[in-house]
Amino acid sequence: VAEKTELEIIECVKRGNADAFGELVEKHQKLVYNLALKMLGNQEDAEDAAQEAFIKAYRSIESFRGESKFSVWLYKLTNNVCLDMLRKRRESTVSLSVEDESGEDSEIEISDERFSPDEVYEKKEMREALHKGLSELDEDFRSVLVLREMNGLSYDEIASALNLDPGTVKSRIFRARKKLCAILTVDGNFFGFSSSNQKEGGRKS
Amino acid sequence: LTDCAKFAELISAMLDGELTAEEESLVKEHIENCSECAQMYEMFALVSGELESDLAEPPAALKDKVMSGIKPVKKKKGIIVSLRPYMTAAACLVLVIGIFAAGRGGFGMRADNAASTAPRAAAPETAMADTAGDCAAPMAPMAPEAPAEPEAPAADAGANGTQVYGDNSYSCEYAEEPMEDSAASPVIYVGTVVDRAMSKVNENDLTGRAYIGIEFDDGTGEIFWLARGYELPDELELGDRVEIESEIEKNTGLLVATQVSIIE
Repeated sequence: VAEKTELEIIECVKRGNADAFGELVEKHQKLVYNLALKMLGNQEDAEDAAQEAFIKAYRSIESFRGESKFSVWLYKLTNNVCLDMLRKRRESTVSLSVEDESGEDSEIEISDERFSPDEVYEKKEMREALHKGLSELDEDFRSVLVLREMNGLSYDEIASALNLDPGTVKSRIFRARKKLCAILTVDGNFFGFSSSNQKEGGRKS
Repeated sequence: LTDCAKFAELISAMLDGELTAEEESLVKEHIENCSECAQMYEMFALVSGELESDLAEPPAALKDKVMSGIKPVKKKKGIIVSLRPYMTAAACLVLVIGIFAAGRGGFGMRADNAASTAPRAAAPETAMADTAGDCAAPMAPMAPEAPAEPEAPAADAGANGTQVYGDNSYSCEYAEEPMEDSAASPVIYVGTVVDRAMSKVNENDLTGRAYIGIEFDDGTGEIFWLARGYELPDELELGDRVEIESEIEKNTGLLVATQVSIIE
């Protein structure tokens, strides 16, 4: 029923009712904003990107024909806006980063120290470590992972949003996770804290 | 170890609920017998759980920003620009609704106590009427050519009164003695705004009257005066394409814009 209502709202917007678009913004702003936040790493840029994505959505709403969920279409726009902003950011800053000598896909041995109980970190620090880790991922990896984990898209939905093959999505998500875990292991704050925290698997059916 | 490599990707997919029941039981079986894969699973699950729950609240102003971001686009299409009295900026909020198709010539100001704020606009109606006819269009500053008499619409269209709402400091209404023969349908012009200003000419009581210069598609131009006491809205910019409803002001013979709509 909810889905139908949304399509009705979209119809209203298409017929020129700009105010109806407000309902769509309200409904989706949280996940759109969070996608942008994870992609861009700071609130200010994330707000700009979310705003731009919604405005783009409004202006091109005619091209949304309901082949996918509206949310998926919206995330696709958001992701594109973010990638665009990241590209501009790269172009306008002199790169000071030094390439990791061990190479892009370096395998980092997962040491047992990660569960050392020495220190207990605040949840906040864990989050910070996670954000930092995410920001170090390639944006292609970041996209798929965030769309999956935060926006809750299925592999097929991600595939259609990013014009990828579902198989590619699957392997990319795996590699993104592996890389992220490797970064977080080195960082120490994330898994260091985790031992005293949760330990439960099997979620999402 | 090759076995593990094979399972690694499946472990990830299992977390995402992308495996068939069959695949899933295979993976689970492997995890039970392989500490390394079990460890990977744990880490993946932990990261996954954190990410999933790590949702920030969007900025409170986001929606408003979006909404104000999309409105101007709509606005550019066919917005009707009301022509507001310039002297009322501080004092009044004036809404012009509809068009004033009739009684235009006699559209005057009763400036009870508005005189102090707008002495010019409050110029005696009679004085203006007296000079009427002498102050015709050729006086228009910067007019590329004397504004021609537009096909003066002779017909008598129904008198669509103008509704002007203001506060108590002044009121706008038709002149006490409406010009006879006043009903005429407005003539509509479409063109591009190439000039907008306030007349500084002193003669013939044109001072302080706003006008818009319009260039038509054929390259010719025209000056449209605004009814006395009205100023051009800020939204109207040079280069805007507009549709202008106009008529001849009875007592002055000027071509007067009664409504301006930005059309693209």
